[in-house]
Amino acid sequence: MSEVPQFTVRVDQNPYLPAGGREMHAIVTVEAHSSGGAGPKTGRAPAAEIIIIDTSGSMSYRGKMAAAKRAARAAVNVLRDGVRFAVVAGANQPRMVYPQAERLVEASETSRRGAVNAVGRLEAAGGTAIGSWLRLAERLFTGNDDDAVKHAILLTDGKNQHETADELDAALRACSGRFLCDARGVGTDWDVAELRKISSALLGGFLDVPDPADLEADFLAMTRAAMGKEVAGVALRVWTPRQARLRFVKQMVPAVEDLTDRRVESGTQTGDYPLGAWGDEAREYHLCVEVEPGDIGRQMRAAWVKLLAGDTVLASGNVLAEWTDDEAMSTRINGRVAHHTGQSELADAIRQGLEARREGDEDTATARLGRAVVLAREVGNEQISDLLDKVVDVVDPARGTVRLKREVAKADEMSLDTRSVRTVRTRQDDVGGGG
Amino acid sequence: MDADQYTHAGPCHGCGQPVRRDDRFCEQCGRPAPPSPHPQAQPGAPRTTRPAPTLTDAPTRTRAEHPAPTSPAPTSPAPPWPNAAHPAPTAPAPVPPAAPPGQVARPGRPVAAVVDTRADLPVIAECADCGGGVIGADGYCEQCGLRRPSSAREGRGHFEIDLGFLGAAVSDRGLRRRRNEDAVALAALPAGACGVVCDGVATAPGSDEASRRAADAAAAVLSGRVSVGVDARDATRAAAERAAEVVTSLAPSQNPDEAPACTFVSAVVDRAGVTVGWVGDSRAYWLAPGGSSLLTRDDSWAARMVDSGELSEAAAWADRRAHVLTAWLGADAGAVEARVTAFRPAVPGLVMLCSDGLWNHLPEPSALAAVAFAAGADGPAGAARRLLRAALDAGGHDNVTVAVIPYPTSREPGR
Repeated sequence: MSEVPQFTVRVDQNPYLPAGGREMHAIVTVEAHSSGGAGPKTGRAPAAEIIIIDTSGSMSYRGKMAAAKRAARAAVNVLRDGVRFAVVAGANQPRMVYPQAERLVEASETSRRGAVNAVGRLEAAGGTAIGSWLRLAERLFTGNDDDAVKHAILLTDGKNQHETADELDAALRACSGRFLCDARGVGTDWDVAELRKISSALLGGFLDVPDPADLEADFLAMTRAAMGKEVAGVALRVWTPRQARLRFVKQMVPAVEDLTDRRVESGTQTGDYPLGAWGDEAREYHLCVEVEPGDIGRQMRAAWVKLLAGDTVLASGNVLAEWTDDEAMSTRINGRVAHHTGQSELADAIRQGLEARREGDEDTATARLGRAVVLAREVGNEQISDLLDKVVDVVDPARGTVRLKREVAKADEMSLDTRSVRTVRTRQDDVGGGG
Repeated sequence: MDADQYTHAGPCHGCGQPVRRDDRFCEQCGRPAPPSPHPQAQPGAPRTTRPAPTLTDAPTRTRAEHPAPTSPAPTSPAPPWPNAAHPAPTAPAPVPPAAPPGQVARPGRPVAAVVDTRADLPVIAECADCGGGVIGADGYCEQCGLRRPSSAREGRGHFEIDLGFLGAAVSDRGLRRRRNEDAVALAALPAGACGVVCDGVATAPGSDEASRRAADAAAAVLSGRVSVGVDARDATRAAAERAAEVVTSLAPSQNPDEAPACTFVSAVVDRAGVTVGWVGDSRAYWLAPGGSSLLTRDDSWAARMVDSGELSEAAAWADRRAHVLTAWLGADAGAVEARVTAFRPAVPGLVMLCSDGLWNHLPEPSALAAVAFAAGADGPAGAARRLLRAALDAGGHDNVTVAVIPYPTSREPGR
C-alpha cells in the first residue's frame, strides 16, 4: 500500500450513566489528513474509474444527452495519468464506449483523447437495465490490483424498467464490496428509492441533478473526489463487551446511512463495518450500545472502535461508560449526540412524510413533515428547511404546524427526498456539555 | 522476602499453589493471578492489598476511616521495619531498567524487580468481575469491558504508607475529585529512604494507572540503583526515564490523544544528602524550623512566564493558563529528562514531596514547615497527615499527596 494518510478517531459522548443505565451513545469522528503535501499524482493508492452513462432513448429529451456527454468528457479529462479506466454506455444491455474491448486502459493523453472522441459519438436509444451495467463494471474491475480504489460513476435518467427488481438486487449483491459507486439522477423520471438502494449498497453517495446543465460540474467534483481517495477498503471494527448489544452504527456525516446490518463478524466480540475508500476527509458515525449495568462508580469500556485498512489499525478510540448517582452528570446529553440524533430523526420524518403524501395519507404527511420543519431548524440544516418550504406552507415553524402545498414541482419533491439524508456538521462550539 | 507480611488469597488458577492477595502473578507458574475478588469489601480494615507488592510501601496502608494505625498489618507477626539502619532487603543487584517480558516473580527474587518488569507485559490480570476475562494494560477487561476498580489500588481514595522513622506518605482523593490520580511510592535505602510522587494529569483513561505504575517503577529503580552504590543523581535520571517508559507503554498505539500522562518528583535522602528530580509541577520542599525552601521549579506555563521575565509572579499565577504543564511523562511528551538538584543540609529537617493538591493551597515553604512541625514527636507520618489535613481544610480541590522523608536518617524510631 502506498503512503497512508494520518487517521484520527475522536469520540464524543457523555460517559455517565445513572444507576441501572444501559444505553450508551457516542459520536465517532474519523478524520484523515494526507501525509505531507504530496502532489495529486504521488503518494496515492492506485485507482480505477468507470464512467457509466445512461444512453436510453429518454436521454435524448431536454438536452440530457448533450449534457451527459459534456459531463463524461470533463470527468475523463481529470483522470490522472496511470489510472485505469473505461467508459460504458447503458441501455437494455451495456456497451463498451472506450476502450472497445472489455477491459480497462491506463489514462494518458492519448487514451483520454480517444475516450473523449468516443463519448462524442454516443447516441440515445433503448431501455434501462442498471443491474446489467453494474455487472459489466464488476467484470472490468476484476483482476485489477486489490489495493486499488475502484470507483464508478453511474448516471441515469429513468427507472430500472428493463430488468426485474430481483435482477438488480442480485447484481448489487454481486458488486457489493467489489467497487464503490456514486449515482446521479438527471431529470425527474428516475426513482429516488432505486438510486438510494444502489449507491447505499455500493458505499457511494447519490444526488439529484434536476438541471442537465449542472451535470458537468457535478461529474468533475465526483471524479476529483474519487482521485483524492488514498486508501481503499477501510473498515470500522467495533469491539463490544460480551454481554453487550450493539444497537446501531449509523454514518451521520456526510449523509445518514444505517450501517448496522452490514456487520461482518470478525471475532468473538468484534464486528467490521466496511466504509469504502478514504481520502482527505472526515466522516462521523453514531454508535449506540446497550451494556450490562455496573455498580455506581464502576467504569466500563462500552465499545472500542478501530479503523482498519486490511489488517492495519489506522486509529482507535474508546466509548466509555461510568455509572454515577450524580443526576447532573448522568442526565447531561452530549451536544454532538443530540445533534446527530436530531438529524437521524429529520431524515426519517421526511422520508415517512413524503411516502404518506404519495399514498394520499395527508394527516400523516402533515404531521411528519411538520416535525421535519421543527427538526431542520433545531439542527440548523438550512438547505433542508428551504426544500421543505417548497413542499409545505409553514404556519408555525416552532411548533411544526404546516399545510401541505397543493402544487409541488416533481423536482422539488425528489430533491427533498434525495437530500433528506444529507447532514450538516456540528460546529465546534455546539459540542459543549458531556465529556 | 518474608511471606508472612502478606495474606493468602487462595490457590493459583494454573498450578494450585497459594497465591498472595497482593500478587499479580503466581510465583510458581507465572500465571497472572486474579486480584482480590472483593476489593471493596473490607472498609476500614488495614490492608496490604495492592497488585504490586513492592517493598516500597507494603508495611501499612490504611484507609481514611482509620487514619491512625501505624502498627503493622495484623497478619504480620513482626514489625515490618525493625530498628535497624538497613531495614529492608533491598535489591541486591542493580535492577535492570527494562527486564524482558515474561520475567516474573520467582521465589527468592526481589519483588522490586517484578514491578520493574510488569509494565512491559500487555496482560496484567484476570478480571474479577466476569471471572475469565483478561485485563488489558489500560485496566479494562477484554471480555466484559469493566474496568478494574479504581485501577487496582481499590479505594485509592485515601491511603498511607508508613516506613516509621524513615519516612511516610499519604495520598487522598480530596474533596472535589471523583478519583485519585495521584500515586506515591516510598522505599528504604541502606542509609535512608527514597520516594516518588506522580500526579496523573490527562483526562485520558488510565492516568491513575499511569501514575501508579510510574511511581512504583521509579521507586524500584531508585532503591535498586542507590543500594548498589550508583550515584543518586544518575539513579534519579534513570528512575525518571524508566517511569516515562512505563507511562508511554500504556498509550494506545494508534491514538496518542488518549495517552495517559503524569508528573514526576523524586527524592533520595541518605547520608550523602538530598537529591531531588522532577518533571512537571509536583514539588519537593526542604522544611526545617530554621529556614525552608522550595527545591524544584515547576515545569509550568506560569513558571516559564516568570523565568523568561514576561510576567510578574502575581500576573503569571492569575492567568488561567498558569497550571498548564510544559513537561510531563507520557507518550505525547516525547523524550524528557528530569531536572535534578542535590544538596547537603547543614541542619536536620524534612524533605517533602507533594502534588499540586497541597501546594496550590499552601505554596509557601515557611507555611508548610509550620504545619509539618506543629506537633511534637509524631514522626514523618504525623507531619504528612497534618499537611494533608491543611490541604483539605483549605478546600481540597484536587487530589492531595504528600511524602515526608527526614534528614538525617534517624537511627531511632521516630514514633
